[in-house]
Amino acid sequence: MLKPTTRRRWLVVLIVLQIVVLAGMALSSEAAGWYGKEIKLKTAPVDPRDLFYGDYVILSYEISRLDRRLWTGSEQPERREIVYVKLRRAGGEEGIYEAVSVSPEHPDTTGDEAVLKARVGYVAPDTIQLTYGLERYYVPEGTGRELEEQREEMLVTVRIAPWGQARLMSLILP
Amino acid sequence: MSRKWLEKESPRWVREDIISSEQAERLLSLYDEKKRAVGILPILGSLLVGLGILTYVAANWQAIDHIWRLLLLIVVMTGFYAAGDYFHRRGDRLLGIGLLAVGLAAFGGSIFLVVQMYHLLLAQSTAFLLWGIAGVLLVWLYPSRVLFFYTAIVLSISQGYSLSDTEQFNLYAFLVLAIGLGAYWLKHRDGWMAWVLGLSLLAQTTIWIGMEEWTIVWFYVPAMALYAAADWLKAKRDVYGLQGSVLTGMYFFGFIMVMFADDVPVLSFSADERLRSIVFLFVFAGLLAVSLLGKLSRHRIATAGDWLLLLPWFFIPAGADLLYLLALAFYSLYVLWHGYDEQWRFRINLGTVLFLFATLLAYTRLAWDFMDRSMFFLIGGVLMLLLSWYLGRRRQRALSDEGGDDHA
Repeated sequence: MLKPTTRRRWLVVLIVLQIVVLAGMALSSEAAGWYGKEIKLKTAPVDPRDLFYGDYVILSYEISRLDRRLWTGSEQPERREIVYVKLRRAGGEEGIYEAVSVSPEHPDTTGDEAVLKARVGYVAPDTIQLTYGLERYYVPEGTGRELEEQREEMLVTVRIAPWGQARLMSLILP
Repeated sequence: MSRKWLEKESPRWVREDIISSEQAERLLSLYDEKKRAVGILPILGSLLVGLGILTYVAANWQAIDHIWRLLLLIVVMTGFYAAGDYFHRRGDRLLGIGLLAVGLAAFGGSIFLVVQMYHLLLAQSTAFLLWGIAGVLLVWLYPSRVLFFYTAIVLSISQGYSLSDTEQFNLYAFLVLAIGLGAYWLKHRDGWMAWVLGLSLLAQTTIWIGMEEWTIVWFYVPAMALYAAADWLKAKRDVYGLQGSVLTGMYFFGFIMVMFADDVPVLSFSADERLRSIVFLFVFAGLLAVSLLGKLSRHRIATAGDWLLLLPWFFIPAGADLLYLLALAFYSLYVLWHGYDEQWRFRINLGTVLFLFATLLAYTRLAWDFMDRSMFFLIGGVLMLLLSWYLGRRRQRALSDEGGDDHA
C-alpha cells in the first residue's frame, strides 16, 4: 500500500507527464507551422454525403488517387504500406503542388519540390489510392454545411516540417 | 439485502426466539441506509459538477481561443486530480475516485482538443492510447474498480479507432491493456475486473485475427486457451470472472450465428480448408483436454456444462444456426440449474434472462421448415416447468434428509 504522501508525489509526476504530452503534441504541430515549407493542394470533388461529418469535413485531394505509372518501387505497392509522394510546384500563380512520383523510400528533392508521407489505401489496376492524414478539417460547429455547398475548387494550405510532419493549416475557398 | 426487508422480518425472529431484540437492533444498525446514501451523493455531485462545467464551457467554447481552451482544460484536469487526492487521503474514497475520474476525462478531452486544433486525422487511436496509459498509471496509484473499467474501455476504443482509421492492429493498445491492467488484476484479484479484462483482451484478439484476414472463427483458440487456463486457477472469483468473459463472448458469437449464420465466414472441410480445419480441431481438442484436467484436479467437473457454448458447432454447416440456438438455450438452462444447485441468486437470474432471450431469439429468427414457431415457446415453457418441478422436488428431498420440517 502506498503512503499518502508518496502517492501524492506520484500523482504530481503523473499530472506533469500528462501536461508534457499535451504540450508536446501541440508544440510539434506548432513547430511544423513555423518551420514547415508551405505548399498548396487542390481538393478533389467528393461525394457530398461523405463530406460533412459532425464537426469536420472530409477532404479528398487530387493527389489522393494517383496514376499507377508514378510508382517507382521495384515491387508492387501493398495495401497499408507507407510510401513517399514527391510533389512539384506547378506552373500557375497559386503555388499548387502536383504529384511527380510515389516511392517506397524517401526521395531526394530540389527547391520547388516537397515530400509527403502517405499510406496506401487500395491498389487498382491503373491507380493507387493514398491517405495522407490530412483528410479531416475541423470546423466550428454548424459551418460544415456552408463548406459543403462551396466544395468545388477548394485549395488547402499544408506546411511540411523538415522532419516530415505535415500540418493542415487552412482551407481556402474560391 | 435491503434494510426494509430486515425491518419487516426481524420482529418475527424476535417473536420466535431466534434472536433477542437487542441482537435485532444490532443487525439493523449494520445496514444503515444513511451511510449508503451518503456514499452515492458525492459521486452524483461530482458528476453533475463535471457536467455543468462541461456544458458551460461547451456553450462558450467557440468564443475561446484554442490555446486558452487547452490551458483551461489543463487547469480543470489538475484541479480535479488534486481534489480527488485530497478526499481520497481524507478517507472519502468514493468521492476521491469520482473526482480523479473526472480529472482523467479532462485529460482525454484535452487530447481531443489538440487533435481538433491541428486537424490530426491519424491520431485518434494514439489519443485514446495516451488516455489509456494515463488511466493505467492512475489506477495503480489509486486502486479502484471504476478506474479499471474506465481504462479498459478507453484502451478498447483505441483499438477500435485503429481498426476504422488505419485498418491496422494497434499492438501498443493491446500490450498496455494486457500488461498494465493484467498485472494490476494479478495483484488485486477481483471477479468483475477479471471479466472486463478477459472480455477486452478477447475483443482485441478477435480484431487482430480479423485484421490478419484469417477466418474469424480462429478466435475460438485464444478464447478456449483463456477458458482452459482459468480452469487451473484456485480462487472461484478468478475462474468465474475469466471464464465468464469467454462465455459472454461465445454467447454473443452464438447470437450472431443464429441471426446471420450464412454471412459469417467459418471453417469447413472443403478441399482448400481441410488442413486448416484439422489443425483447428487438433488445437481445440488439446485445449479441451487441458480444461478437463483442470476441472478434474480442482473438483469442478460440474462446470463442464459451459462446453455446450464453447464447442465449434459451425463445423456442421447444414444446421449451424439451429445448433447454435440449441447451444444458447441449453447453456442458459444449465446456468439456471447450476445457480439453483449453488443457491446463487445472480446465476439463477442470469440463467432465466438468457433462457428467455434464447426463446425470443428462436421466435424472431425462425422458420425452420420442420418446426412451427409456437413449438419453441411450448418447448421452452415445458422445459422451464420441468426444471422448476425437478428442482423443487430435490429441495424437498434435501430438506427431509436433513430432518428439517418445511412449513414454507
